[in-house]
Amino acid sequence: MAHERQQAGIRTFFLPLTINGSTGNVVCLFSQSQVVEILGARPVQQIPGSPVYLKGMLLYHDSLLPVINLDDLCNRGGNGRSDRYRQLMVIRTGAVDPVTGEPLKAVVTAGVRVRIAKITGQELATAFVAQEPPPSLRNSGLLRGFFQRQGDSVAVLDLGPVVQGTFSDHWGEANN
Amino acid sequence: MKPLFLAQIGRQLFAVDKENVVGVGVRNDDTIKPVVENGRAYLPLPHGNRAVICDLQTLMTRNGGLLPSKRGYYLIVAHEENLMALTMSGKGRIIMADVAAARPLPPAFARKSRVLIPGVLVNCTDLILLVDLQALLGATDGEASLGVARADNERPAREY
Repeated sequence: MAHERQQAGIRTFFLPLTINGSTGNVVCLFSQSQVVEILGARPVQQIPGSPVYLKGMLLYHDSLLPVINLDDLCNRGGNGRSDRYRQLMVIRTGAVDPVTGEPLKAVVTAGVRVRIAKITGQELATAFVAQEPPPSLRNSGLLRGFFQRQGDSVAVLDLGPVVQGTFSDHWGEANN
Repeated sequence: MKPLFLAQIGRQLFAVDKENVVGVGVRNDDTIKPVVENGRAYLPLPHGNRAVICDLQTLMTRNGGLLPSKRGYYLIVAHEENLMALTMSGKGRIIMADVAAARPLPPAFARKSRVLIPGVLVNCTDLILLVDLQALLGATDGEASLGVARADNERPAREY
């Protein structure tokens, strides 16, 4: 059964990114198990004093979730590109709240529509070729992998430090 | 349950303790011009008082966005030795709220934000941010010394 599912493909989500120093298409990969829901545009509660990559907070099923812009997160030193987005992607980060132990979710903004594709186990093994990431991504401290797949560069990010709040201190030091 | 003053800034809702509220004034630069002194803006008030202008909108729009701003008002609040003028979009209103039910910001937010907004009240789909006045004063550039008459906390809210 599991083998059949693998043959049919695993649904994956590709969020287009704008990365300084990269000329090609860069997308961030999220797996089916990471993505909870994709929402349409809705008001985001801005929070004063937030770093540029945190666009605010959203009430989602009785939980307060941080709203993250990956372009701003990955292009350190920018002044914040845009608050416009078309979609909001609710994701599981795999991290837990250091105080309560609750699993932490986050919302990622998408300036353009998120692409959905099914990838077979064979494609995962053969079509993803590791490559050197652009410096801004490499220095982000969040990159877990960078691959070439067809015409796209695919980044895999770990948003755990961002939602746990440890990244904001690191970000503040780096931007001072 | 506790009385709070609810202020709308753009599309965001903020609340401060009603006990701190001194009054609400129209923001009209033609008649009352803010005075800038040592890099801080002060709003002249009657009887020789003045209030440090604390612009929460600026603190939010530092990260790129622009909030809609129509005709504005100042919410005048007293905090220890200081008077503060918080810019807001509407006149605001008094509400009763269970502040014990306030939730903290998610851990993703930096310490600065968490001190400034120590709690969030959820009201259906609305989020009301509780503002720490001391932290707000600090966030809008350190300590302010007004050197004028102290605010009377017992005074009822009135329109200047």
